[in-house]
Amino acid sequence: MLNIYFGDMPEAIYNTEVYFVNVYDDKWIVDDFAKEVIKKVDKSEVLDSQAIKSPVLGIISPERLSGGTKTLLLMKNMPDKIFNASTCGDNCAKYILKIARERDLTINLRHLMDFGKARFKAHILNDNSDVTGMEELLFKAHEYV
Amino acid sequence: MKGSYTIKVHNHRVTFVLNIERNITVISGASATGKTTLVNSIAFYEELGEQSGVTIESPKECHVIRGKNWKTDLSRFKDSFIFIDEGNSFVSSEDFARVIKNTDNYYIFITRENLYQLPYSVTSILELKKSTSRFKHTYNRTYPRYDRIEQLENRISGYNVILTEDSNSGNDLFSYIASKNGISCLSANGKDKILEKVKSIAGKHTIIVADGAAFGANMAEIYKYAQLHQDEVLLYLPESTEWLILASEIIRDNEITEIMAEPEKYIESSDFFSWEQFFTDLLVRKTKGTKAAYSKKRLSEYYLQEGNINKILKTIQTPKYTGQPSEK
Repeated sequence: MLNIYFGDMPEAIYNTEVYFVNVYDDKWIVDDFAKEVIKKVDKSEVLDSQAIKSPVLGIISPERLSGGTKTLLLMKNMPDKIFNASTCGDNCAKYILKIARERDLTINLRHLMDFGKARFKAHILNDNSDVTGMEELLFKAHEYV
Repeated sequence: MKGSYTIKVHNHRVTFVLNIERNITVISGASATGKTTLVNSIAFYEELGEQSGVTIESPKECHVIRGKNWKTDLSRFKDSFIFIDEGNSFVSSEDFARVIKNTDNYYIFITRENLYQLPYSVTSILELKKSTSRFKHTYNRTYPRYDRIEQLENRISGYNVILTEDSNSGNDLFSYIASKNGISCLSANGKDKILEKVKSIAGKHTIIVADGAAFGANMAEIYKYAQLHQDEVLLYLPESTEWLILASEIIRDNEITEIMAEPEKYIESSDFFSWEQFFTDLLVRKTKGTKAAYSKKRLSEYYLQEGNINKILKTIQTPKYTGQPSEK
């Protein structure tokens, strides 16, 4: 289940870029979820836990992955923390839904993320309501961010 | 600072080309388009100059601001391009808006958040996209995030309602245009209330009119709504009502003609926080004490005379900007 809190949330990790660099574990990079995200979002290939082949940047370390991918890997691997999902572009939305299908995931959003045309379910923590698609989410974002 | 500029930032693998026209630019969009790489490259250059391996081609200095010392750092820079990456929460504070107002820098923000404290244009919301890739070198360029151009006038007849952002002179103008077309005109009583208002009249074919020059923070949600209701809702976002009047050449003045051709050359960021303010100042100043005297609160009947309204309608036919949503 996806839980969304819109707006300022002091307990959420806001600068996910810095946080990732200081907490990530090598094994995060080589699991199937990470490989898929890195391939689809960053258009890059995981070679091993410390080397990723980017078509633009060459061989890079995980620290140079995109901000969106870093945040997704934090969400996947640190279930007790809440992260600022506004560091993720719309091309990360399907992976947020994927994590949330497997377990409860709470994210902090400070903008309207586009989860696509298909219906999805999310719980809005600001007012304890549920939404089932973009139109409903749009009005919640409008109210709280 | 005033003027439009092209900034090129490159190393041996990637080149970024940015076209910057106004004091506030927001770069948002998908992940993994190089936004943070761009800012980090500028920071490397700022630290080490050419020894960083980064090359910057820019008519003004480029600086990166980050962290809790932003205010001190910012005070050192004048007539510069200031880049701020996402993850810096101070950009949405009132304090930050107060500090950058009346400065002569241009600011480029990497963020997806709506910066309500800042009056930025819908045309200044950009995204980075790969333009070409050859010999293992990638070229990324800025493109407007909301880029569809449409004509409005020919489409008025297909709509039931014109919804303006407020109840002042812009509403007076569009009320008159609506009445000429046999449709109604409503005010949302503020740009923050447009979404509720358009929802309350769902089912009616609606043209939303707002001042594009300062509508950037509201654009993402309105645009998404219009995208979800694209057979029903049209966005028409000229710079402002004052821009519309000035661009219609109702006021015959050589200076106005020159300014309207290239406004970016005349709008000094330390004097005007947004282009909307500049056009209002220009129109008020040029019409003061004349029969065309302009007031933002109430539109003079002068502008509704047959000849003048036709000039405005003609300008609306070829607007500078409308955002008609399209599926991406």
